[in-house]
Amino acid sequence: MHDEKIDLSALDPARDAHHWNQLVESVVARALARRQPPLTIGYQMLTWSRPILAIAAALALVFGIRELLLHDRMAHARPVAPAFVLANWAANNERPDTTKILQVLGGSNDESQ
Amino acid sequence: MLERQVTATLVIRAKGGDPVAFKELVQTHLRAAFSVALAILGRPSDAEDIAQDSLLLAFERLDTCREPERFAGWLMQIVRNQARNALASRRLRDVPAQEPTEELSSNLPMTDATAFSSQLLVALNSLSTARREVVLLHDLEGWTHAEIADALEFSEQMSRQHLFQARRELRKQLDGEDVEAQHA
Repeated sequence: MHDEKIDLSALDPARDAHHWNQLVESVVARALARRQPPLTIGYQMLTWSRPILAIAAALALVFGIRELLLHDRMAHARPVAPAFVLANWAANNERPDTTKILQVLGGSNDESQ
Repeated sequence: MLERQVTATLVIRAKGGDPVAFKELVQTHLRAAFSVALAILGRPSDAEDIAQDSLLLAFERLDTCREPERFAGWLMQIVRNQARNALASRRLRDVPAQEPTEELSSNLPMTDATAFSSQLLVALNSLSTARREVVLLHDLEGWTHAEIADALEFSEQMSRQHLFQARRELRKQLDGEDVEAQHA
């Protein structure tokens, strides 16, 4: 009959129970050691540096965008301001004195020089 | 082999770093890993090394085991890959293939048990890898055809066929050797 089990127990590595138990213990110990993070200063710094770097990058991004937006607004606001004052004066038929005009246009006069 | 649900629970606990779960998984799967490695490599000492390495690798990659209830199949795939890589390296080093008998006969005193181990290894060596895997997992490990089929990813019917053929070929080999020994 070919359906009868073949006795392969001669190849059973667990026949030597002591050796086999040592093998099991060794695998478990090595597996656990590999999963446990090393307690070195370098490793701890590395594990802390990653979230800190991520937070710093996020903050830099937020502040960077904010600065860009503010800068953009200021850049648009500066040339409009004197023109707006002059337009107001014209609309209201006002005749400001030279000092006021120079105050409003002061920046552009300095730049032209 | 453990029930699927029990295995799944152990894997989940091991993922959380539970040493007891680790130990239980090693105790229940190291022999099967050894059998599959032996089927590919043919040398018990190499198979033992590969079985250990594969379990360590599996535990390192445990988070990638998506179906914890199929841990055995996932592990056996790792064992097969590791064993095939080891076999390829061994072939590159040009080590002759039929060393299981030499390994046993040269390192140990030739008792009846070691002589029989040698005979078995030589006989197993004449089978295809798939037949060796099935006969070792079934007749040495006591796995069912359903478990073998699930772990090695072929049908139960195929597992039965492999086992039938493997046993027939092994008997032929072993009986032939007995007859030769009697004539000698």
